[in-house]
Order: sequence, then C-alpha cells, then structure tokens
Amino acid sequence: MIFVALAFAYLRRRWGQALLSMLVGALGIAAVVTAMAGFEALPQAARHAWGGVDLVVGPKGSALDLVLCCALHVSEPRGLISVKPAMAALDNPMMIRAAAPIALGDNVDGWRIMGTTPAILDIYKARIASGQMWTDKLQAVLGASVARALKFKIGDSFVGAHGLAAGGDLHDKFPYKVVGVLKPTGSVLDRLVLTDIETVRYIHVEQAKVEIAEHGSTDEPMVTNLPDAATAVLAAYRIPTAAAFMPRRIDATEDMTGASPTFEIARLMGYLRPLTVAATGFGLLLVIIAATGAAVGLLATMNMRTRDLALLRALGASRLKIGTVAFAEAGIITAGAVIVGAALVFGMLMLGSDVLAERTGLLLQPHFRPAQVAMILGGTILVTAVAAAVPALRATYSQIEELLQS
Amino acid sequence: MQTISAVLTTCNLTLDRGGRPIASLPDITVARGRSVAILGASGSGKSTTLLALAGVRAPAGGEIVIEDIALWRMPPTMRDRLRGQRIGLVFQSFHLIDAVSVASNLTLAARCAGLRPDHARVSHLLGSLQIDQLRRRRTDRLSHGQAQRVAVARALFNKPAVVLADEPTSALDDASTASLLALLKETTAREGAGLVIATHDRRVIDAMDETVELRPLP
Repeated sequence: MIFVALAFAYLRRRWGQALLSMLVGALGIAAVVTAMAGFEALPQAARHAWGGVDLVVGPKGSALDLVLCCALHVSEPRGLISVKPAMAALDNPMMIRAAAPIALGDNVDGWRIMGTTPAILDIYKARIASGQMWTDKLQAVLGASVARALKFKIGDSFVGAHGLAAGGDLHDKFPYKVVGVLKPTGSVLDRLVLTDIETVRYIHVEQAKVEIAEHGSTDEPMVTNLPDAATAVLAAYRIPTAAAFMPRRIDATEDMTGASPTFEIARLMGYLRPLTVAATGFGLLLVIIAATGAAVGLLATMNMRTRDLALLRALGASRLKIGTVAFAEAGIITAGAVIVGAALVFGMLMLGSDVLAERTGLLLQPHFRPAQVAMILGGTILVTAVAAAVPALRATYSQIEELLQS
Repeated sequence: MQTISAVLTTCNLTLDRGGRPIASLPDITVARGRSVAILGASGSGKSTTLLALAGVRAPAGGEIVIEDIALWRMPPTMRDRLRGQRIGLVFQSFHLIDAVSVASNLTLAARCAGLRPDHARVSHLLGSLQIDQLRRRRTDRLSHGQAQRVAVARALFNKPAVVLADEPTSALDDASTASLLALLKETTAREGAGLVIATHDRRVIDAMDETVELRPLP
C-alpha cells in the first residue's frame, strides 16, 4: 500500500503533467465511446421515431428524402401526389394493414400540423388519451409532446402558420380547436398536430383563393389543381414479406416512389459509416496519443526517479514492488482519465440527445453492450499496461549500481 | 577469525571492474559497536567494495559473511531482503526520496525490507538525532546537515547489523566531518551495529577503530 501511496506522492509532485495526461486520455476515451454509442443509438432512435411506418409513398424522387420528410419529419416535402392512385396501389389487404395519406405544410410554434385520416392511429398504434378524434374541419388532435410543450387543453384554439418552421404567415382566418390529445407513443407522432386532411386542403385552397384575389397568383397551384393532393401516403405492412413487393410495385408506377424507412436509414447509415469509422479512428488516435504521452511522461518521470528506484532496490524492495510504483502511477492516471472520460461521454450524450431531440425529434437512448464495455475497459487497461511496462521493466531489470551512479 | 559478536567478515575479497580485477581487500572483521574505515584513492574500487559488502554487486572472488550468512551464496531475492533488514546504507549524496516526508522515508525503508514500520522507532530515532520536529517535512526542504541526519536515521531504522557509508565526509569541512563521524559512531554503537566507511578522506582514520587500505591489483 505504501508503494501506491508513493505513486500518489510522485503524482502530486508533478500534478500538471499528470493532469494533462489524464485529460488527453479522457478526451480519447470520450471520443471512442461517443462514436460507438452514437453509431448504434442513431438508427435505433430513427426506428423509434418512424414507429409503425413501413412504407412511404410519395412523388417521384429521392426515397431517402421521402423518409426524412414524411417518416422522420426532419426535412421539407418535395412535392405532392394524388391520393387516389396511391391508395389504389396500396389496396392489398393481404399485405397492407393500414394506410393513411398525409398533408404537410403548416405549423404551430414550429410543431408540424399534419393533415391525415384516422387510419394514422392504426399505423402508429396510437390511442387517444383525452378528448376524441376530429369530426369536422379545423379540429386538431395533439401529439403528447406537443400538448405538453404548448400547454394546450381540450377546447383551446390556435392558429396555424404557413411553412414547417415557426415564423411563417399566420392562417389567422382559420383557427383550429383542440378536440383530443394522444397518448405518448415514443414515435414522431408525439411531436405532430393531427387534423383532418380535408382541413389542410381547405385552408390552402382558401388561402390560394385569397392570394389570387389579392395578387393575381398563388404559391400553391398544386393544391388548387389537384383536388386530392397529399404530401405522401404512409402504410404499415400486415406481413414482413410485403417489404419485398410493395416498394417495387409503387416504384413501377409512373409518378410515385415507394420508400422503406428501414432500408433508407440503413442506406444512410452505410453512407455515414466512413464518418463514424473516422470519428472512432480519431478517438483511437487520441487514445494512442494520450497513451504515448502518458508513457513518455511516465518514462521521463522514471528517468528522473532512477535514483529513487535504485534506492528502493538498495533498501531491499523486490522488483515487484518497484513495478508496483510504476503501474500504480499509470493506473491512477488511467483511472482518472476513465472517470473524466465517462463524465464527458455522459455530458456529450445528454447535450447531444437534447439538441437532437429539439432539432429532429429523434430520441437518443444510448446503451452499451457488455462486450463493448469490456472492449473499452480492456483497451484502456492494455494501454495502461504498455505505458507502465517500459519504465517498470527498465527500473526492475537494470543493475542497482548503474542506477545509483546514474 | 570470526567471533560470536562479528556482524561482518570478509575473506580473500577481490573486486573487478568490467571483468578486470582492480583491487583486493585485506580480511576484516567488524564487531557490534566497532568501526572500520576502508581507505583508497579515487577510482581504486572503494564504492565497488562497498556495493559488494551490501550485496548489490558480486565480488570477483572471496567471501562476505553477514552474521554467519554467506552473502553471495544466497538467492538474489533473499539477498535483497537481507540487505534491507540487516544492512544499513548511507550514501554520499544521501539519496532521500523527496516526494515524501522525513518519517515516510524511514517507514519506506521498513516496507522495502518487508517489515512492518515501527512508528515508535521513528520518533525514537528522530528524537535521538534531534530532528523529531522535521518528521513531516519533505526531504527536499531540508538543510544539508538535516538531510545527513535523516540518511543516518533511515540506515538505522531496520536495526541493521552493520551500517555501510560511502564517502560520507567528502564534501565536508573539518568541523562537519568531525560532527558526522561522531554522529555515525555514536548512533551505530548505541544501536548495536557495526560501521564500515569507504573513504579517501584521511581525516576519517583517527575517528575509526580500525583502518584497512584497498590493495590495487596489477
């Protein structure tokens, strides 16, 4: 024990160098762990977010865009489709459990208003917590997070604004009335304001009429030209094998794209893999630099302490005891790095989760598998052992007289 | 001839440097409470002799016996332990560990030797050397004279059979030399240990009970 205390005493004497080694090590550990956690937690968060949506049918274009816009609600819509042919293409009760059109375009304080049909509840397996579904135009049912954030109650009224971000032109002639609040689902539905799709069409057609009357034109010709326009149609499969047929069937049509969130997000993560590998590599590089720094620092310290170690040997200390001092010193630095690194990881994930949830609604719930924890700890212990071994071996296997005379 | 009170005896001891014989030591017998000076010019092999007597560096030939135990016939681990428990060392530059306190320097000597530190002995030794008030002070904050006393206290802490001192007076004036020699002689005698000093300083001769001179080998 006194040899561990001696290692502490040595660290106290060069606390600046020890602190630096500890911080560099902590940064390395934090970078590796965060990259590992993020790579697993992000797709998981996305899967939670899109809930029961197995297929998004939208206008011809990028399938990934369609998923990001209509399943994850993190990007803007790219166009409109006609609901009738889309629903017809999905009319396969053997494969499709539920399908619902959605119409996006407005928001209330940055929370998206989504026109749809009651079938949306089947897709997300959502339930009403209080109130009821809409029975008429300009009635709204709030997702759990929206209700909590806006503090709206049944019977309250609000006005939607144009666009999907806060700050657009208010549709102040068309106030909504809250008629229901959904139970939390853990999906993106919690962050949406639902209303009858006819309400969205009604507001935009009426808005278009006003614009034409006032300016002679409108920004929304599609809405007026396409009476059953929608941003997309969401569908949930009845059987998993539907995934092999339905997107292909939709893609075969002339003006529709079928996008599978599972496939598109997997593809996206595939694109991002080099980034996460680079981040992990960078973290590993930091760990290696930290380990090298700690080893060089330790080596320099041991060199300065050559006489002390020789003295301990001269006083009868075994090689094991000499090694204990070196390993204890490296171990203390590493333990500090692990603790600070864990705090950094916790902080970064907490902050990152909050920012991600605020910006995208994706709820990161990182967790580590025992194998990952073992890998991180094993790697850290290995680096510590290597960092300590060089000076320890040097100290224990040198001749005492050489050390005393050095 | 070895006597019952002999703590260190040597027989036909020769020393080498890099495999080349450099000196031989006339046979010595050190009894408890007695002191011997090993004299020799600079580079004659005094430190090498002392390292051999301490069980650190093997001699080229001959025998060293510490309290009936042939030092260089023991396995290295046991020799390390014997050195820690039965041989006290005082170095020319003291070699105190400056990261810890005076008291810890003493208790560390016990731990290195595999002994439990006797804290009462810390007080006793520091008190007898009149440095008890320094027990919590870090050793890099000691004066030369204080560090010298701490080095002596550490050498005696494990109640050694013999104390070996390497050139302890080389950088000292006459008064300091006399003071240190008196300190070493008195304390080792009081603790019942023998004292061997390797030196080229002829001022040491008068203070010691016996003097032997290293014989250079051709």
